[in-house]
Amino acid sequence: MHATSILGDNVGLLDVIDLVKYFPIRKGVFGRIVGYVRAVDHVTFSIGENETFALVGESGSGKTTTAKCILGLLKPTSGKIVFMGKNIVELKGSEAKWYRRNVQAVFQNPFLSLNPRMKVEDIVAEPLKVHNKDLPKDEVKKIVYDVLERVGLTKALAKRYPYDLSGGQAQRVAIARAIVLKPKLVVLDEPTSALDVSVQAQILNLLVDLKNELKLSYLMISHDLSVVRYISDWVAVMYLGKIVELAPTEELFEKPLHPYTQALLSAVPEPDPKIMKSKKRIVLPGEPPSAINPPPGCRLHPRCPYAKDKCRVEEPKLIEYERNHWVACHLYTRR
Amino acid sequence: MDVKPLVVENLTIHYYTLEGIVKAVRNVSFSVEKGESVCLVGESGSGKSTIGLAIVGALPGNARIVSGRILVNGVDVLRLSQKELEKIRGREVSIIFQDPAASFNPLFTIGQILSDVIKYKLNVKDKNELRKLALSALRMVGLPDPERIYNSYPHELSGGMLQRAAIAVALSTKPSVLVADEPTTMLDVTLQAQILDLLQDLRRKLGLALVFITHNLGVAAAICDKILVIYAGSMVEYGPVDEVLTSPLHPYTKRLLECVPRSSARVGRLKYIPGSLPDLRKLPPGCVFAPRCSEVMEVCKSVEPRIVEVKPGHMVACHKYSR
Repeated sequence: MHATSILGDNVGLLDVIDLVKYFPIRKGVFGRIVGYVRAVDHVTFSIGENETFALVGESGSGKTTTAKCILGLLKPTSGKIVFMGKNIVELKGSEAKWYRRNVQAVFQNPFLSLNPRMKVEDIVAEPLKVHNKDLPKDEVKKIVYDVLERVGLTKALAKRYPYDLSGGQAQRVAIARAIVLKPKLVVLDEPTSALDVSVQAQILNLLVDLKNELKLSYLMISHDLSVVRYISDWVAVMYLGKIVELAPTEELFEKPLHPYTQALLSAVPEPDPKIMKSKKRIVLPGEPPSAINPPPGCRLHPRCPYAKDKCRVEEPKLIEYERNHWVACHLYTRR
Repeated sequence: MDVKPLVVENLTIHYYTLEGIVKAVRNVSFSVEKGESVCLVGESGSGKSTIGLAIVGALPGNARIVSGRILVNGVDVLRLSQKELEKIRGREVSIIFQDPAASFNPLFTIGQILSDVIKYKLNVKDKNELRKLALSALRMVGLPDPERIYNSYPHELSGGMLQRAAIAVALSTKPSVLVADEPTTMLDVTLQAQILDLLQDLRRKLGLALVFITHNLGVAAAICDKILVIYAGSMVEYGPVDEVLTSPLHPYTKRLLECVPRSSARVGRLKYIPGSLPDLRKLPPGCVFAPRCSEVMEVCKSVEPRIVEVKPGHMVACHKYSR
């Protein structure tokens, strides 16, 4: 099951359907709404079982807002988020708890996401205590130590506090906490951005191993395209709240269709002077405009080197230009 | 003979902390020609930023420069009095940092900050002249609508624009050396590409000697002529960028390059460097990288390797190459 289910009958593990999240801008004493930040604007995608789906884009593209809606940290303005057949936006009580048990998260900075006043073993045990109150103490301890060992941490670290850990170790603790309940989906929000490259490599390898062993699915949020190419099966590129291109990873990196994807890929510096010299750089002028008043038509048109008259008035739809390769750009029409 | 804008010789810097003496930088030497860019590359704690701060004379109070010389246009800045240093800092050597928002005082407009720097460093008194110089500095870094930027407060500008403004402030006094400490780390890739292009352009146009500090080997490949790889305060390899990145000599450089995922090709499993950085207060005897090195020999554990020139201009500190 994969992203073909965007419009087809297949259902993935998680289907995000027409998701919209607007943040109202209030002004004055009465808090009158004067406009909206269109953070996520009609986004649809699907994550299959045991699949890594990456959302990439620059600051303000809406990737983190999308993730927060999926995690239930934000209530969508409209649209559906369907997890194993249930629309999670409407879940309450035990069903909501069931969802939270199955969807976990790892964030960018482990020192902010781990409670500084708790020991490592208590941090990892907490989800177990919340979701399974009757579990005996020694059972909890056993599970915690097994999970810590699985993420590559020694027993000695279990009694330490987060400040006493290196960045890599702390991120391993965050991963242990995320997988201790054996979830189906883990949201990874820039999980290696705060780490040095040699440590980043270890964490990425660990994530790949865990995915295979535990049959996990990942939603990876990242701005680092090299990391995305390494870890994900599918990539969706977001720009100003919209998905502009969606394809299997290798397809997207080898044959990027959207001018924005092309520019993004051409801007990634590589530690190889030969590639750097041969690389054809596509420079987009300026910076992304504000999501409060996004440009009409295609949102990229003020910066796009190929913009035509049509791009200024009509918004391109996300179409399946080639099998499994979706793009929202007027340069491509359905064949 | 021309004097090199920047020469760093045998620089050793220690930090005095309550937990002991941190040997942050040991015996680092390099030089930068006019219009040349040298990258200091290393992971956190390698001492790369400490070197940058030492060059501009802005080390924190608990740092001691134990030995070495830093020559800016032939003058050893480490022997200057505070007063003499003031004439060089911001005048002949400037610095830009990772977070441009943190390097601007939020209570002043970009124009006020810029004019102040020009006023005190270049001794310009005339108000019209000041304004003209400030606007031309903003124009030089490619900021659209310099008049508007001049009257803007830092919070009114985006990260990319603010970093351009920081470059304008740094270069407004026409220094010969610019230290750039991770200037693109906080920016998105497309903006990073813009800022790197701008720095390349200005370096050529103004003949700047650029010291670029980064942890990103890709960024280093994009901007430098020479690359200096630092590990735990020691220089491990130094040479032309093409050589160091395509045929690295030091095991650390080799392993580091293998850790990096590439966007240009899908790699198999990523390699990594086992272990972690040594404690800079209790350094191991011998080579600092020996405990993590896959090619370690007996001699590495007891004798510190000297830096030797293996090929013209390409130096490495590793026993594998010393004869």
